[in-house]
Amino acid sequence: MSRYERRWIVGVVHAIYPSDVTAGVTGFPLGAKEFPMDRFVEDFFRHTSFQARWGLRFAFFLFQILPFLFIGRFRFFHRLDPKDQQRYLECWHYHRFHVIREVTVLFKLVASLGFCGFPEVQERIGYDKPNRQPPL
Amino acid sequence: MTNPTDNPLYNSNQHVRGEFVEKDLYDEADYCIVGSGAAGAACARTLTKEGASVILVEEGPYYSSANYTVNVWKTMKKVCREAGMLAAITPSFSMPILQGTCVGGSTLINSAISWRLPEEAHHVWAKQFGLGEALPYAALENCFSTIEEELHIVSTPDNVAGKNNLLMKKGAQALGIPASPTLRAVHECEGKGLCLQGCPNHRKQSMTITYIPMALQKGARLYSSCRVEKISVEKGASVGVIGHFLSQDRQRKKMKLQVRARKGVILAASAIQTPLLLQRNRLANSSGQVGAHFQAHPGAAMLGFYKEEVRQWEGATQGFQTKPSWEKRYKLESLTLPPELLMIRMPGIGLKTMSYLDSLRHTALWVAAIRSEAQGKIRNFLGIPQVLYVPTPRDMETLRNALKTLADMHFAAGAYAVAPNVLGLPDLLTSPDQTRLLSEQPAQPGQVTMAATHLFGTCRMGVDPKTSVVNPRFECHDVKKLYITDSSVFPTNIGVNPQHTIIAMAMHASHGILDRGS
Repeated sequence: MSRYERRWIVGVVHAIYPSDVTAGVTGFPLGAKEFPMDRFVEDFFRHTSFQARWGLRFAFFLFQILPFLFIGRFRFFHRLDPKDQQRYLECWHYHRFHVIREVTVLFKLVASLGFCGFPEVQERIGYDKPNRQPPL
Repeated sequence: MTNPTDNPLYNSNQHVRGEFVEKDLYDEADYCIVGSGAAGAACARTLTKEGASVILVEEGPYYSSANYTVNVWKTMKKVCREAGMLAAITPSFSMPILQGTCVGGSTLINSAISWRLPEEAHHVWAKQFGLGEALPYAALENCFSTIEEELHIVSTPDNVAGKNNLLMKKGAQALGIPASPTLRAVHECEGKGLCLQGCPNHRKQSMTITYIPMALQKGARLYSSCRVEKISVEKGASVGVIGHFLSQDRQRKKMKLQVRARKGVILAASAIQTPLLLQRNRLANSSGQVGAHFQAHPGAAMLGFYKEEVRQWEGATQGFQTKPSWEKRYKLESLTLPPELLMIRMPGIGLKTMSYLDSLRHTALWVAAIRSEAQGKIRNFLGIPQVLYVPTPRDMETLRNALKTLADMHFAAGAYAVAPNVLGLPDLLTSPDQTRLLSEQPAQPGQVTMAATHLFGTCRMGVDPKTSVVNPRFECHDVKKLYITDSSVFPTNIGVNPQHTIIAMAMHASHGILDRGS
């Protein structure tokens, strides 16, 4: 995986659990940017099967380059402003075609396995199990 | 307290860890069993108890309790097939399928719910598949009794139930729905809610701490991290297997293992892996039925939001359930999910999902599993395993009814909102009146997020070689001394959690295999 691709994927994870814009919106003080999601993404793709790995990479690639088709913005996803990123995510998530909706469910899975696995996030949620470890 | 998972036998020369093997190996025994989950372990335990020599080959690694962690990703990448990314995928529907790939198989990461085979299911098997005489219910009942005693199958007591389970009880009682605490193979459960990550207190009676050590005690030998690729056949009878040990990250093949099985090979690799292995070997498929008739119990989750703290992660993972109705075709259960998996079920995406993070401790999660009538197939497509499966309209109707009942139960238990997770409905239903939307919605399969853990039917048992893969003695019609004992032989799904039945069937099969071998 090239560093550009990793950056794209991590950018999607950051948009699913955003940090900087959430303070007054969700009340949750942590976001994916506060954690080393690049290391998690690297590890995730190293351990998934050939077909899952390539399927996901292709999905992330399409997602990155198609904002013009869904929200009329001629920019890559990671160059959109947070408001447009959210709008674009929702366009996919509530799309009438199952395949497109499922892509965002997969993204949510990757993002949640990473972000929600960090002990600081679990502490804040109230998931007070002993010996919590980060997903790295 | 001693740690039963780390039974010293796992560190003896009876257990070879494939990750560390440096040369090709050869071994020989009466029977070679492929897969160490519920079916494989039960066969190993039964065969060794009667004096047979057994080699158990498991594709996954031995996951020592020293490595158990509450982190879901760390668990999934070590013990789940395809790191938990296995799924049935078609353009109109997809469904994740969670399977354990480790010593003990899925029994290490399930909730150990134990139901006897419903008599209605046995009746269907007898009537439609002619299995009544060969597979008498009385014989299975003997096996059930043995298992219940050996695996400490008991009802979940209230003191470890936790609020998630107790709220479900309240909801069911309020609506007059027959329900009861779950029967589970758990010895003195402490209600830590960590069944899915491997019970840290070693209370869950997974095969890893029960039947596998019992078999090792009786002389069985275990090869972990070894993928079986070839079934050796001579003069129409199976005589052994050939496999390769896998590297620690499971991505690379290493040295070779060759096993000679004097009396037969037993496949117990699951309803997905067993047909794939047969297909790759072009064996036992003159009927064309290998990989066909794939059935499951697809399930969907319903989250309830409560004013009080529920802290669903405290208490037994799955401690309460409604009585399954054969006619209604569904079963409702409580389920504890860790935050990583729970957040996937939250409505919306991005900011919207994130706004629920602080409410996680106020949610209760219950699931519906349906006795689906859909049949799919398992196949190798250009060398890549594929699971093709789409629920039928009748299945969707069943699921809609089940989800409506779950929503009604949540409101009856005091929820102020429920998240239906059905496309086309509001993210949250906030009054009991709105639950009718669930039954009015003409749901298509892709509109509901589903998952499956119970899999059946891909090497169906039957008396007719033209329509089935194995005969009622669990032996392949086409290949002598090649037996299949996992849930792929079930002619249909059974409407309840299958672990108990899988173990009982494997025990029953082993007695027959022993008779035949002698």
